[in-house]
Amino acid sequence: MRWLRTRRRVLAPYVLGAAVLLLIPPLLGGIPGVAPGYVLYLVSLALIYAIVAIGLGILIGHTGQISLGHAGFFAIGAYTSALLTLRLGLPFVLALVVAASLSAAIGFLLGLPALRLSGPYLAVATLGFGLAIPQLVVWQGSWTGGSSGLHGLPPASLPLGALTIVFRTDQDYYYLAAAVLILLTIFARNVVTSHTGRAFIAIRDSETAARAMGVDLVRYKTTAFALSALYAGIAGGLYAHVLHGISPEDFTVLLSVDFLTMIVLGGLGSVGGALSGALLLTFLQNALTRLPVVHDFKNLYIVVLGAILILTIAFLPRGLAGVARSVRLRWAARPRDGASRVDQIVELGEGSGV
Amino acid sequence: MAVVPLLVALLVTACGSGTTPGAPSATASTVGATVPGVTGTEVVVGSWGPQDGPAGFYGAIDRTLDAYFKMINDQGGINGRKIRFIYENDSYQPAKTVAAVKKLVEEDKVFALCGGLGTPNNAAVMDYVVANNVPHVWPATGTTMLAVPFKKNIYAVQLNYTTEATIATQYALDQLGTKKIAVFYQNDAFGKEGLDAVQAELKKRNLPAATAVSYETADTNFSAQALKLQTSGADTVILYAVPKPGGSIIAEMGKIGYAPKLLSSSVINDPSIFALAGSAINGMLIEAYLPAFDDTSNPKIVEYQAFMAKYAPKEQIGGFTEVGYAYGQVFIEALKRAGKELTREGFMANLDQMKNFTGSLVPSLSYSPTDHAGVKAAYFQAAKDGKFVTVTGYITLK
Repeated sequence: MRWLRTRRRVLAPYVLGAAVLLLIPPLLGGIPGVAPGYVLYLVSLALIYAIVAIGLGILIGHTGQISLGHAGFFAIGAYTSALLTLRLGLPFVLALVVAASLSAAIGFLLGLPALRLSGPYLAVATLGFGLAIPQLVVWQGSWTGGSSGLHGLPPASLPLGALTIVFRTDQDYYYLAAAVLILLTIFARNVVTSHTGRAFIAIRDSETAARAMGVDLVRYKTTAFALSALYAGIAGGLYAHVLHGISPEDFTVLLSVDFLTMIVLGGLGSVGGALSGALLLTFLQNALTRLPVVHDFKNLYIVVLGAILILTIAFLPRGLAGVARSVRLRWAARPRDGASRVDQIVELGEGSGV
Repeated sequence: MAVVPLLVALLVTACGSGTTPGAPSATASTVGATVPGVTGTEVVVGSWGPQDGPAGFYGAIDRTLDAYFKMINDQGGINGRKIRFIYENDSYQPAKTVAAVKKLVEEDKVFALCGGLGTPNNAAVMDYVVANNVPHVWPATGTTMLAVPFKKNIYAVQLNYTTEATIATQYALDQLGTKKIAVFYQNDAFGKEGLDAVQAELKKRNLPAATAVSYETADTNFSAQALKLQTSGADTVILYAVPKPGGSIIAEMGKIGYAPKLLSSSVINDPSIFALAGSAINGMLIEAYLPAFDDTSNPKIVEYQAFMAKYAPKEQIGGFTEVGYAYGQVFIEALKRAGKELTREGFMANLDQMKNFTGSLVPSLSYSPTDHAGVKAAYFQAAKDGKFVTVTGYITLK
């Protein structure tokens, strides 16, 4: 449990986050005209995408390795978990563990070519992986359900001591996704501030320098791939059960691009950034479709979304995390007790972590 | 480790909520209760389909349906109620379809669905739609899954691929003197359903199975498949392909001098096919269940084109707007029959009594309380000099 330990000093955001997540359902119930089930379903999807984004953030933001194929890992997790529960009747938790492990193992293997490839070459290689997975699913249609997919998955359940929790409603799945997300957020924060995380960052900043310092490139690059694939695999397993079914159409290359957009929007190299980027993009994608249709231009929302993304990159190159960080610094550096601003910024910058 | 109690709290809340009526089925119509989406002056109808992305061209169907309901509202509505039509854009992505349908059912509280589009998309929401007992008239897909096994609240109309392929096989064997069949099919649920139906019909007659040659949607070169079809020695090839690969395989067969009789699913019907296939396509038979959208000798088509000119002038006269118009006709007829006291149960009970309805572009439509499969008859058109011309009357299954 060492990886889930958090220091008291950084606990506050989690308590706040968990409290907000806990309060959303009862609050939704009180708003007239809002269907809680529908909104909670959307939020659950956002939370699940956030899990993928956090994993992808470790790979791209911290280790500097690009991937345009994470929908592939997401699909592997979803299909493994769906097939094991539907066809073999395995318990949900066990299926999720197998799904996550398989995805991580394949992520490890995909990390091997990454030792020789970088930048655009690695982008194309991972893109090919992402494109291939849905095709393999269709090809092996006799047991994967082919292009019509797998449907009617049994409800997820979780044995908790003597008590077994069975997830049935949209609200149940929302809480499940929220709990997994919190655990995986803490885990990611601990990884990136650990020895391993520092090795990732060293590789990102300069592979040559990292190697000179004794960072084992083979080990850490494959670890970063496996770790981010693990996240995508867990998210995929949750996704299959939230939807009660999946098909290859769920895992197009556009989804991989969405994942990349999330972490850039949130700010590369920040766990909180990946999380908030995922929530923001999913929110924008759903909210903007409600824009009124102007001059019969039904797809105006895509143009608006594009404009928001361009403006974000232009004016907030470090994403949402960059904004949060500069606000924090300014607040800490407000004039007080006559101490110089520079001293305070230096003092704060040192301890602010990742 | 202070977060662990929080997580336990989250999960225990999840457990507790399991017994609360989170599922919207509790709001389904019951005697005396208000009917979702129905007031004295309005009835809310929902749909979904892609308005953007690779499948965005299907969006014309919902837009035409919207225009059709506008026309009905201009004429005063049905039984004193105007129709409020809400169609959601799902970009053909099942996760978004689920969101769209949850919104329509739980937030917009639609009375019924009409024309929800796509095979994977319908599959993703089928259980939910059935559990909530929302009538869904004319799901926009030819998959048999929606009608077999029977579902009380889903009313399929479109000629399904199984029926279509069976009619093609019977027609080839009985009318064209076919001795040996090969099937060229798309390697997915659509293509396989066609192939399975051909094989089932052959098996029923104790004939040897057809040679099956498949393609993937990403394929661009079809010379290997053309050779395979030729070496099978089949005198007839049945195609379950979309326009681009379908046109290409016909051209390839022409190149190697293989000229079997050709029969095709209606799915191939797109003007682009003629340029792709070249002269080898001449004489190919293609199945259809709605009248040709450009056949102005048909008064129903004249009516459809007049509607398009007035209510949807920006949309093209073509297969997609034609079905959108037909969805509207069938749904409005169902709404009329349901009468002034509108409930879901009444709506479905009346629709179950529909027998040989000929008032829409659908030549004849019947339902029963145990059969919601919809159209079971088709006719053939033949390719001739860049056009499809009607060559047979309606044919039903034997």
